[in-house]
Amino acid sequence: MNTRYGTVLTGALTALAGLLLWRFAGGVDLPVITPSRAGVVLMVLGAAEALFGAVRAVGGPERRRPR
Amino acid sequence: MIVALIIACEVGFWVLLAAGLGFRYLLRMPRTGLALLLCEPVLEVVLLVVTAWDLKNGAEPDWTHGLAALYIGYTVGHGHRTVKWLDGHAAHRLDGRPLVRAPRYGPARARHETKVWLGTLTAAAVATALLQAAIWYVDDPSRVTSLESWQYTAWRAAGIHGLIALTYWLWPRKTPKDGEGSAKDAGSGAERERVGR
Repeated sequence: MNTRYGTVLTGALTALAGLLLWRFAGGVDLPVITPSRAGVVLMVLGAAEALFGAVRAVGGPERRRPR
Repeated sequence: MIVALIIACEVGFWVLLAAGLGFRYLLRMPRTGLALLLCEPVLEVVLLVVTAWDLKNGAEPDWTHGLAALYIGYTVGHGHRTVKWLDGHAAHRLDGRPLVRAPRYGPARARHETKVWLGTLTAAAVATALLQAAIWYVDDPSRVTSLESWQYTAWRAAGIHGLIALTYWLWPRKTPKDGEGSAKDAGSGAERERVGR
């Protein structure tokens, strides 16, 4: 898959996972993280990543990374 | 083989945990229960040794070795906290003791979340060190790409957790005015809450 569309997809899936955590895991108690708060952060990060991928997708040809 | 071993270690973790807590609170044999709980780290040592042995025997380094490193990192960073948390819930449900909870509101909660994040940093550092040791051990840049990507994954997870902890400083949870929160914080024991498993 094209890297830019891969970024959009990864961001969208991250945001969806965040939405599910925020919406459905509100009362769950865990030792390391609070799922609802983690869900909000994942939604923001996923949306930002998807937006970044979308901007790159419409912003011209992909630059090859030097190896 | 490594995936099977990780699954075996995970199953072993819960079996030892259930047995340890069962001996402690159901059979009233706290010393035996504690001994079983103290066996938990042995599982991680077994996983570490077998992973190293697998690489030594010429196995191609792949995501399973990376996952093993992250699993061990989690246990170092959060294993004690996880067992203590489960022990507290078992004592509450099986022994009727009050549930001791972490602070829920304000700066006290933010400090708690920062401490938990330090555990995640420890986990990421341990996983990175183990993966770097594997990279040096393999000593072939063309074969270690997946191990390097797991190092990135570990720090990405630590970064996301850091942002979550930061939100507690930026937008702290406010104490409810009716005093409901303080009653729960004190661990009245009456509250039967949903517990993630």
